[in-house]
Amino acid sequence: MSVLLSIEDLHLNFRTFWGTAYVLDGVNLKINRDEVFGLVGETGCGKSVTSMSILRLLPSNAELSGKIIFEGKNLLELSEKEMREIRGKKISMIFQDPMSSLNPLFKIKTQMVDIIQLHHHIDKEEALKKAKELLKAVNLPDTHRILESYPHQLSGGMRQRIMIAMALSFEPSLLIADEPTTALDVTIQKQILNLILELKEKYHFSVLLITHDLGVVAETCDRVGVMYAGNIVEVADVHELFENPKHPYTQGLLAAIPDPRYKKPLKPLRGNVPSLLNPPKGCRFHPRCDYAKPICKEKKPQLISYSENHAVACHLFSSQGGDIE
Amino acid sequence: MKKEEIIRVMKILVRNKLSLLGLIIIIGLVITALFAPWLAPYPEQAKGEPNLEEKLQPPSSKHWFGTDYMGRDVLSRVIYGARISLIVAVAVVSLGLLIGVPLGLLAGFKGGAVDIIIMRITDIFLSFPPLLLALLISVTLGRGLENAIIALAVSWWPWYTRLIRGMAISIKEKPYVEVAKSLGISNWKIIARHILPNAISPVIVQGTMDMGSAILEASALSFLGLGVQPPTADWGLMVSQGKDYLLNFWWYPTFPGLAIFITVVAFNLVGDTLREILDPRLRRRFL
Repeated sequence: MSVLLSIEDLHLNFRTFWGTAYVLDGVNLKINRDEVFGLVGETGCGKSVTSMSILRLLPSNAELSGKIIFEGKNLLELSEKEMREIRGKKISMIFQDPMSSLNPLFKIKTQMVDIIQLHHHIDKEEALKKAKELLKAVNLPDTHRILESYPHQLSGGMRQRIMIAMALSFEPSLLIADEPTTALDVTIQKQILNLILELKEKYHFSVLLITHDLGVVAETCDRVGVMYAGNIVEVADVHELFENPKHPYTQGLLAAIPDPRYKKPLKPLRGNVPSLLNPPKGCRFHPRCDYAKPICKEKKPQLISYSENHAVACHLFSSQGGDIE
Repeated sequence: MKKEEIIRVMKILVRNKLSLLGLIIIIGLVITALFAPWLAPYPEQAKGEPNLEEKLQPPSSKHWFGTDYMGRDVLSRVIYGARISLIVAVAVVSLGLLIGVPLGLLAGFKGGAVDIIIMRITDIFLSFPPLLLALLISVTLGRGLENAIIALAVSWWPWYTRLIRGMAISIKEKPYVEVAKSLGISNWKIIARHILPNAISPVIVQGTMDMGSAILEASALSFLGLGVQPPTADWGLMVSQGKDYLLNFWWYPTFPGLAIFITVVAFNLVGDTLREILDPRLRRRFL
């Protein structure tokens, strides 16, 4: 499998009134062609900013360094104009809140035609035809009615389908889905995820799925990266991760999922997410870790491969493989 | 706004009785201004021709609103005054919008240094009482209608800049703007397609209401002798000249004063309803 996107040592700081927030602390990540890569972690761990960094849609107080190699080009070195050619065309994104992701003042028709005409140089008639095709592709059959509707006349599921249709107008090679189902109810969630997988088979793009729902990850992803406080702490194939989690944080996350089969109490992770203005030295997880060793307070662990399809950033493991004592 | 949107807004304006009243008054005013030469009983007197035999006559069937100190028909002059007032209202507000809206959009959307510079400039303008600033500029530029309009517009635009900047800041954080960016839409297009249309409603309302205030302030400038010059018929000027006669010849300042009052109220009534229509939280009531 060839690599589509590779993020190397990505650092992101935000200059704020209260000081510098060290939001991403050397993120390393590879997404292969034709795969669904899940990025999980709790709120504020840097999942969304990672995706926004890929598209370079960060606020002006952001400082970004490292490399984001996409189809052989370092996105961080491109001009704003070159970046606009990538956005929507090569890398598309769908967002969390479909309810407000469409401009409330314009009909779906206007908004879709606008987007389609942006990169394809075709006239309005053809753009409209293309819009209808796209709507059909996302299983919205009543295309005429939908095109003539305003966003508030459509349901959340329909709007998210429209967002997906718009994101796919140019057959991008990477679709970033930032918690695409969080705002939807469970049945619609399932439909939307299935739709994304279905379209992925049809159009052959990769998906970067950002979520905090491990259930969603288990069902949809091929590989998973676990993020904690601006670091990727563990990357593995989805089965490997669920069956053989290595990093104490991943173990904690999995232990915190309620299991309806056993009536045992939940085991929450102790402590809180550290402040990114003043993150702990060494491994950012050490204050909450039951297995912390002196070295964890001193040195930041690097992501090392534990087995063929499993990498972990933790001092408890050497590259030869080892286990939590 | 689209055509059907405008039709919808008009329908609601008509359904609400007070705003209908305001609308009728404004339309009446426009018609009066357009057809002044045909509506005014004494067009020459309205343009300034004296008629000294009939000085300061009380209202009668010949002169409905009485005559002024030069014997000119007050009704004719009030009718001609509608022209000046409407020109002033439209010119001041549109000039203000023309300067204020782009600056506000730029400040709100760009943020950072651009925002700080633009907003500090508006702060300077806003730190003067508006009429005082207009007075100052008017004195500097010299008397006359055009200069009064420029003076008012210059003291007017910062309000729109502030208003639309606030809107732009909140709208640029909306998910649909983020979506537009993620799809590679350029900043200018985002401002034109997403920020401006979603930010403009309160400005339309403010602008409508300001038409009344603009007339009022232009009248104030004329009253102080800085705006329209005699013998042109202008409501503010007429009130100014008539104030000395108020005790004995009440009709002379009263009718132009009433004209100002009614016009200002009409614009406010329409503006109020417009606000309710364009505010999405209040909109449902009308649909």
